Amino acid sequence: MRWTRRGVSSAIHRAVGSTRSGRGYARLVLLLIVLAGTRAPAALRASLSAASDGKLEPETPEANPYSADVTLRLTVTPALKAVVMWGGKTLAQLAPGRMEADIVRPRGSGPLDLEIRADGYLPYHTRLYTDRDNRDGNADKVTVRMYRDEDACGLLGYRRGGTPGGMMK
Amino acid sequence: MSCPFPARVHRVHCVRTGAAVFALACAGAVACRGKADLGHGRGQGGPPPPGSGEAAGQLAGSAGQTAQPDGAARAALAGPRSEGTAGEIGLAPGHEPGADPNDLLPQAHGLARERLALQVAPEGERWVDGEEARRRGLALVDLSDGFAPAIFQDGKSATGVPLPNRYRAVFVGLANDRSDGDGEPLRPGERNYLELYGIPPSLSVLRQRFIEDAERECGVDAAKLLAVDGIATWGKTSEKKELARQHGLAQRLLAAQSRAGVASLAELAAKEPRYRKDVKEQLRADNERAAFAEVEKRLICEGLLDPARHQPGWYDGPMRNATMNFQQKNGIFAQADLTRSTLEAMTRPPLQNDFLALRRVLAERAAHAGGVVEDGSAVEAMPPAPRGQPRQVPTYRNRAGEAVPVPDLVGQATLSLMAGLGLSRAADALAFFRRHPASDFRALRAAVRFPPLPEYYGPAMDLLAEIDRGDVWYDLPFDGRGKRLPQPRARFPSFTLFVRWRGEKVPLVCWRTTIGGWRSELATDGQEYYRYKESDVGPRVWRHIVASPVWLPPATSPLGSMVKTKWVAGAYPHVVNYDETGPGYLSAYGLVAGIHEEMRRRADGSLAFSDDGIRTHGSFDYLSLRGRYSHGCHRLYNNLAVRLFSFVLAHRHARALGPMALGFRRIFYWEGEIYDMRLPNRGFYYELEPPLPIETLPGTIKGKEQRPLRGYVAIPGLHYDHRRPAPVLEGGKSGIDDRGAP
Repeated sequence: MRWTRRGVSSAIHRAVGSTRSGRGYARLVLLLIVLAGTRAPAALRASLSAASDGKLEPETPEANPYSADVTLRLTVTPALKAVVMWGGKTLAQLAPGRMEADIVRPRGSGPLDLEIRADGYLPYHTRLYTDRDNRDGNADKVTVRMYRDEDACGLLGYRRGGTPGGMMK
Repeated sequence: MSCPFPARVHRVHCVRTGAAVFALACAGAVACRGKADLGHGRGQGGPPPPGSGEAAGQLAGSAGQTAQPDGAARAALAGPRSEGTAGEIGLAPGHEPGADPNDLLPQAHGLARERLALQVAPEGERWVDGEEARRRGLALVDLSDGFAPAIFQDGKSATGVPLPNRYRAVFVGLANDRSDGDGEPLRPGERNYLELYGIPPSLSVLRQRFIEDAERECGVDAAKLLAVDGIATWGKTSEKKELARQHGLAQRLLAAQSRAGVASLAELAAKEPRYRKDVKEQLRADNERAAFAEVEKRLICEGLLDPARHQPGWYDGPMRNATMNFQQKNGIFAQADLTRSTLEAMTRPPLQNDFLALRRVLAERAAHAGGVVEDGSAVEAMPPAPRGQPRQVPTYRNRAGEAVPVPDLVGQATLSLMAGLGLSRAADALAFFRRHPASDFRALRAAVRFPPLPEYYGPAMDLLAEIDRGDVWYDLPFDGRGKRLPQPRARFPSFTLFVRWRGEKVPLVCWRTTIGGWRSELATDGQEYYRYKESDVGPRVWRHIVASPVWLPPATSPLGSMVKTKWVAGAYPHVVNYDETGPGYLSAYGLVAGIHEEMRRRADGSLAFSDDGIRTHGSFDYLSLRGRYSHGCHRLYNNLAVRLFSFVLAHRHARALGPMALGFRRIFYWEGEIYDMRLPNRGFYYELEPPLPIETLPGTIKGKEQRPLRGYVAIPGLHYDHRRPAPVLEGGKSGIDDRGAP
């Protein structure tokens, strides 16, 4: 993997959040240790992989690309009480010790736009795809890290108490 | 005039503000190459522009009438250039419906439905053996609801592993009004009108239209509709003011009329010339109001406008949506503006419009079944003719060394298909659909004889493509005070596909395309600037073709455009906006893209490829093809891009690589919530072996600047925070963020 300067910088921001707190510094040190090693954290790897280059890498073939159903997996960190919403429907209730949700859907029935809500954390929107199966190890699975407002300041577009942008008309 | 907004912003700023902006942007639209032509760029291949009076029902992919190399096919489809108004539309005399008696096969018995094909004999329809028809050289045209163009078919790897082409199911769902762009079911009564986006309706959807419309008697007054060239429309606030102003003027003129003791406004204008201008305006407004009432009547009659939700006389949201649906249903190039071509289409009975839609749909099916691309537009690749002389016709050399005109194979194949099915008139089509229940379209093929292919056809044609940038302006589009400067273009960018044959470059199609220009961009300082987005010049190749490609938004994309509300499982939550990224018909890369790469030979003799981010691709922004600028890419109408690349894959050595992994993820903050954009793959890839050469020609540089400005330019009218660090230019360019200019 080729690490770009901007990519690493933005990944540090995302993974560490604010470095104003001691906890932030501790996380930064941990992250640098990981970066120095041979493997980056999975989420970070995923977030940087697209920025690496335009080299083509075929998707891992599915064992049965024509199965009727697919099993999607959502994993949420840290351990907390959370609810997974799909539009107006509650798809799953998560709690410490049970932070994974396996969702079975008909193949090709459209993506699932999910919202994860937890007290004290910012609502998190993500998407799972129903056009591939997870059971043979070929996505779709996603790990989501919930953010408190004070953790989100390193994220792209963060504005405390305001809207992102920057253009003044 | 360019429209210097990114695609998404443009939809808001240009399209919704109506005809004025668009008319300016498109004034001077010209043919693919050659002299200026204020109307439709002939040979465009796609439907014509608003205001040309010929929008609806243009035979998709067919060219104009000038020096037509094979005008017979076009002439046989009555009214290909102008669909006219209320008259009957159909095949011209001399093209008798039904299959050629020599091609008729015996009725087949005991065969599986999938093996059968339909033929129309003098005594009626018959089901024949499709395999036998193929052996006899007939084409089998897929009329089933499961049809998707070749680029969306599943593939197999060299080792036999299935390569699922995931967008196929979405394409079919969209064409059948079953699902939306994500593949989720439509709500009851919802319709997809996506023909202009490259997804024609299925035969079942058309069947439904014919059967419903056969019962409609709209009774609109064509004279009132055609008394105006268009109807001015406004946004809610402006409309209120404008209608109040018109009302005030009417009252004043009425009072003046009374004072002058005359019976009509015309007499008032004659008697008191100072009122002439006001009277003229009042009469125009009266005509427009009368036409407006007919538009309302027609939209209600077609079931597009719910009278319970519409305030009569006002161009409110429901009516705007209804107009847009009418236009997209009928292939009219306008976006909710009440243009002349819209009004003309409204004068035609619904069944006539349905027949035109059927013809366009069958043109696509015929082009794909025949594996042909020539649509008569190649004439536009020829040099302009001297005044008063016909344009030179493109030709190729046959075995005898004679020059033979390049035929309009799409037009001929469409004609053969319609004649073979006995579809001469709207009434024939209605009868056809009444004979065939919707279940017939689950598996329906027609066996017809297509015109013979020219000698240059084969499995490995020596194809090459050329993009002429036309007239190019590098000057800033405004002066020091921010006043917009005209940058007229007599020659617009064009895309031409050639085949090398017997020592000549033979043009097969020539379509309008786009090049880059001045566009707004969010810079690293978080502020928006103009930037010149250039289309690279020089020889390149297409090595990869991507079906349902994914566009990666650069980090400079405004975050507001990356969030939208969407109907999801009974609620309208905020979600990440994947419309522009794709895969999908709204993707910035459209339904299919060919990647431009520079090919070099290394010292060891191996080939090296570099991608400069430019693509030739389909585009949802169909109005941009009328003279606007891209971010550097070369856009085509989605249906033509699909046709083009399906043709290339069929006539070059190519292999399916399947879906390519991407693993793109962007987590961002927007208005107090976290959004996680995930794009698992890049699209379904094909590889051409060898790559297909494509060259971008420099065009003619106009104005003072002979080279593009590289830096950011402040947008007039915006105030900038100069305390921020200056925006960073390409030095720290990250590969992903700045690649891919839609």
